[in-house]
Amino acid sequence: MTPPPESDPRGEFFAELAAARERRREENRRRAPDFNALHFCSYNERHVSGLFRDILSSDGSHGQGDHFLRQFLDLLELRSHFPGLDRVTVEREVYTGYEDGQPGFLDILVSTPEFGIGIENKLDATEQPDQLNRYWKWLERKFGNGFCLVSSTGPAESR
Amino acid sequence: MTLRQDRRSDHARFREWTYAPEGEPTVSRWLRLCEKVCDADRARWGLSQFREHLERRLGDASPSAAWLDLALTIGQGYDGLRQIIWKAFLEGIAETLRTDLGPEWEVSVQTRGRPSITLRRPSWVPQRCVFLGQIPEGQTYFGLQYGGATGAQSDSLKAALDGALGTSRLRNEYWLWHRAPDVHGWHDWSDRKTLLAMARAVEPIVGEPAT
Repeated sequence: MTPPPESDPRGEFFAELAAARERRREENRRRAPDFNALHFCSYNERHVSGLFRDILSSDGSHGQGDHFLRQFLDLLELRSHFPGLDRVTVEREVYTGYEDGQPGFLDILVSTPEFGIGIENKLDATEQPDQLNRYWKWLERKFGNGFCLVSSTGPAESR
Repeated sequence: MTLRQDRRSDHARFREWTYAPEGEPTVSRWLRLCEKVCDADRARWGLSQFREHLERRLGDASPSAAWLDLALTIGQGYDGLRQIIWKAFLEGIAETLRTDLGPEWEVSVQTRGRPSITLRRPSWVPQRCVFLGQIPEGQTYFGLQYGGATGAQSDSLKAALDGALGTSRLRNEYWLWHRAPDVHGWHDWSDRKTLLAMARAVEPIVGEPAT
């Protein structure tokens, strides 16, 4: 492409554009802000639940003890139900029994013998009919009044 | 969500958190808090990668500074570029019109402000011209500007152009005809054939007495 003459306002614009592109190239070279291997990975809610379980667990591979669990409980204002975190267990895919002809599995259960947090993790998939009510009833049977059901919603649902 | 309403409103036993960019609390915020308290570089990096990935995937990705720089540069140059494109486009059309229509038509181009092309016969009253360009509402129109127009449906000039161009639609008292978007989209008003057809078809109005 023939460059426009210097008096042409296009020249100024394209010079600025070229400079900005150069700055972006340099930023990419030094920091690669757009690079993320996860953008190329395929995964589903079960994988994400597995990751959440690991993050929430005191003995998770992150090695940070209960730091991340504390953040979770504080964020959801549930900390007061867990005076000591050493007794907390975090399980994934917890079987909640057969109901209406189908087995139920709660994605994540964070619990002590006295209190349970059931997390239903919804990233993309839509909720099955009556799914949350079934988990509610299961938590109620298991923990009495000492439970909280946490439902995570994807962007489409929450808008 | 299918949870019974009474259970949904039971804040002690029900919470929602969201992957969405808006609302509270968000998964993204939790991950960010975890990053802050994390001592291990490797784990912190993994958390940030996952959070950034979710934000990108779910639409809350802030552009990196480098992309923002590029976008702002383009944004800043937008008006100038628009002017440049308009100018080249209209001058191309005007040049073709001058060649094709000959000296019987005055062709002028306006590239500053609202870009436009106007065509007029020297015998026309000063306010009358065929106009192609933007009107104050920001839309692009092709029509007849007629200073003496009254907006009357029975205007003989309007009837003549209507017959010639087949584009009758009363816009207001000043803009009598324009190519309006039809069901298939915008009509190509810049088409050379259209302009030539118009030039030939409006012949009857040349002899009309000046008003």
